[in-house]
Amino acid sequence: MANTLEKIEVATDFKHLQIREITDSGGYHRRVLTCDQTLADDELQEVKDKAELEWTDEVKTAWSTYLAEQQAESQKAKDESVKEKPKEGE
Amino acid sequence: MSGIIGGAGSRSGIIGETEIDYEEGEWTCTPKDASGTASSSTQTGKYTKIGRQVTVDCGKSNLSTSNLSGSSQLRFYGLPYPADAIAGGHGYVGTMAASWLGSMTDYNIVPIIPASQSYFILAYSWNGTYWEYGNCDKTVHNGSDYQISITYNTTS
Repeated sequence: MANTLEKIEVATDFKHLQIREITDSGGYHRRVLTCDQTLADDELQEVKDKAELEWTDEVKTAWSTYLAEQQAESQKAKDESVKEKPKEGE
Repeated sequence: MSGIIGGAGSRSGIIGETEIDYEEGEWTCTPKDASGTASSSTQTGKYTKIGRQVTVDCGKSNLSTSNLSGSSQLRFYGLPYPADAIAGGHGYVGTMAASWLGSMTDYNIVPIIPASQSYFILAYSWNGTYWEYGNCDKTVHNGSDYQISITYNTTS
């Protein structure tokens, strides 16, 4: 039997959907969806509706910009690391 | 400071004068490539959350990545909470044991959760100079066994 949806929370400025479900054994199961993810066809309708409501174009643009900045920072740190660190034996 | 966080099934507790959320449960670890194609090798892991601190674990034998793009970054989706921002840029670092690795057998590989993300990637220090992230045909790949544990902060 599939897990039963218990609640959908909205987390971070980027409106991540934080989903808590109840398992067959009565415990919790959690997962997170971000606005750059494509929801599965068999995703719960409540989750689809919440995503539709929260994941505005503005939110998607902000998330996309954040990811691009993260990527640029990571690349910059990598480039500087390669430049600055002495080679073996120096 | 000391206190009590209930017993099994407890949902919150008091440490000193601070009420702290407590929760434990399961999450489903799903390896994907960067385009979002998923491996069939999903695995249920456990999590424990105390306040903002979350600890997750997960492991899998004979991982299948044969349908993933080999040159694409390997990501393990499904974390129960998104990571908070972290100083230093790379993300929250965990520990990993693995066998039957790809081409990066001589490197110390660690799982990292990037800030604000709900997946972890595998990182290794390339020749001791800079971080490199594992692709689907390197580090952990088709046929590998792995076990990870990561503790990180979430946003609330």
